[in-house]
Amino acid sequence: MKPTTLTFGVDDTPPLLELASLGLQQVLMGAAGWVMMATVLATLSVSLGDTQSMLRMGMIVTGLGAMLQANRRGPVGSGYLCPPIIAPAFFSTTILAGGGFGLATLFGMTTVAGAIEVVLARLLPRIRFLFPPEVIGVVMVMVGIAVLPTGFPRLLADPATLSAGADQGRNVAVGIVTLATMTGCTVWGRGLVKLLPLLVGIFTGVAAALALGCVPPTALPSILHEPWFGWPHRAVSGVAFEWSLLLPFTIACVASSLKNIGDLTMCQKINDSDWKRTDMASVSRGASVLGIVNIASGLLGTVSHNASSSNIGLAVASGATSRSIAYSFGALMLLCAFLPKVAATITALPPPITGAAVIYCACFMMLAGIQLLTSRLLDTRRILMAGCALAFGLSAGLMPHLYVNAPHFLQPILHSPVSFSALVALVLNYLMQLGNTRHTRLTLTAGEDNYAAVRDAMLEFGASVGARKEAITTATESLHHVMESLATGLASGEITVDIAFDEYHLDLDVSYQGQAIELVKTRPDRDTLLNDPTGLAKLSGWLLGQRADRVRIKTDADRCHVLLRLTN
Amino acid sequence: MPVVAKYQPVGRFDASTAAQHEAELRRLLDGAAQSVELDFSKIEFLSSAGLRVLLITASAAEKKGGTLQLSGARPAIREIILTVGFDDIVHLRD
Repeated sequence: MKPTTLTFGVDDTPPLLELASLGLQQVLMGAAGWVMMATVLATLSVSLGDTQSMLRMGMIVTGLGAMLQANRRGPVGSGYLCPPIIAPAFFSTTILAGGGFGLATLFGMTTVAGAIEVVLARLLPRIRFLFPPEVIGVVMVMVGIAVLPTGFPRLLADPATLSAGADQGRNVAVGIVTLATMTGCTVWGRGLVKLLPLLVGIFTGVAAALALGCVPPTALPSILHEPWFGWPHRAVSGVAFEWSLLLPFTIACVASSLKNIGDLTMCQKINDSDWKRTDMASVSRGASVLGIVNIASGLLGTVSHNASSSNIGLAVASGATSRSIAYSFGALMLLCAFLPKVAATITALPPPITGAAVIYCACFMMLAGIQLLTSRLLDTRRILMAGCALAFGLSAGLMPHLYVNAPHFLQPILHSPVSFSALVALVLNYLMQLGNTRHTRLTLTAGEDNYAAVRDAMLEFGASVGARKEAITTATESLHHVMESLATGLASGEITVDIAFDEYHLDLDVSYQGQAIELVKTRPDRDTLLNDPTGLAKLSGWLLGQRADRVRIKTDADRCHVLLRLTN
Repeated sequence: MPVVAKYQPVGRFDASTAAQHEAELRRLLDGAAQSVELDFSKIEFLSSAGLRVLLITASAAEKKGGTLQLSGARPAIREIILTVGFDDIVHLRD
């Protein structure tokens, strides 16, 4: 069901003006990613011309990839607004391949990485059990946290992000004005302003930068230097393969795929107010697109991509997740690839403005992960799993020097706090569940007050299997209703409750000696309830059917059973 | 002005406590009160036996020209009252 916070849900089509504006807003969100890509290429001493070529080819890949991702028919495409962007998970392998073997090898290995990602994506539905909601929640929190090191140095005008001689104080002011405008538009804005907080924020930020003299001196010449129209071309011809790079690229693929699962899950969650768990088939189709994007990246001559968390965060923040926006975004990206002046203008945005945009979106991404994590009951095992995963992931981001001596093949994972966190969560989740049963038996005595015993046992079981809080609450109440019915003299002696959990359902089997509960299809009327001695039992029997998804009464040789099924 | 008595039960409103709550509410309506205002903010579970007490109390209040008002119920309890269709005899307030 479409959440009420969304103005344009995934299946809605915004009017043309809004559609174009929302697409442009998503394009501008990607500006920080392009700047990041240019920075990585600068470390490889790639020429300005080749960098421009790789950026424009990246725009083509991003545009087409976003359109393919929005597709919901056939074997590929998740059907969501989930644009690809340059992948931090591949930074170290990009530097390894590009710096050590040249651009042709970088492109060749990027193509291979894409093929590996497609294979991994197809395997996902079969290994669904490895990704319970609390593992995905950890990944989603880290996805939000991981963009902070990109955003904060820009927002707070770290001198390393500014041109020489720039005034840090004034640049900080530009960043704060931009962020405050975006926040204000989201909280108090109406109509288009509420829909386009990033766009309004960026325009306000540019105005503030011009007023305060914070536009880098190189910005205008670099824009004027570019032609209005130009065919994008490949940086260097050919692709090459290097065996020694296969392992690091494969590990980077695993890291990237883990992040993609988190991002695609976030897309599902933000588009469905009744969301309960990851639809791994949809994630698989979405992850396949990101693999195809990387095959295309290598063939067209640009670097690796994965899902853009910032763009998803922007979709949440602006309340516009329509898949139609992916098409307007894609069209604008393709246009940018052929209009070098426009692309140069976007990449010349002052760093505090792009930083503010990244931080603004990170707020929504982190909180979506925390919401998912806390939607489940967590026992000590699960708390430790999530806590350790977050702690190790954060350590990689806060103290990267601790991992510099780790084996080289692990560097792609250790380089990315998201991937490291995801790996720790995966491994610990698997280990912690060893010996943990997904069923339990509760023994009660008829005629006694079993309320506290039922409540405590259900809470403990729910936390041990990571059930949803709402499901356990409803199951507990249903059990209380059964116990109250049995207390009217229907049961004698021992009552056993067998509880089983399989992620999708919670099954309860209440078995006792005595008389079967009568399930009533219509609610007893007021007169029956007030004057008929059986009125109360009838109301209990009717209420039971209203609370559980399925109720059956069964009797065998010497025992009666009340079988309840509830959706988790 | 009708006389309104206030009553705040705590914990469970089920078979284990129904007789006690029913007696207390009857005592209030046997006195000067025509209406009863039930504060359900501290109730964690409402069962069919509890629902029956609400019905008996609402009927007694109606006979005196008053009403039964219920406030502070948490969402799950409001949902039960709505599911059973008692919102026409119990005046639900936030």
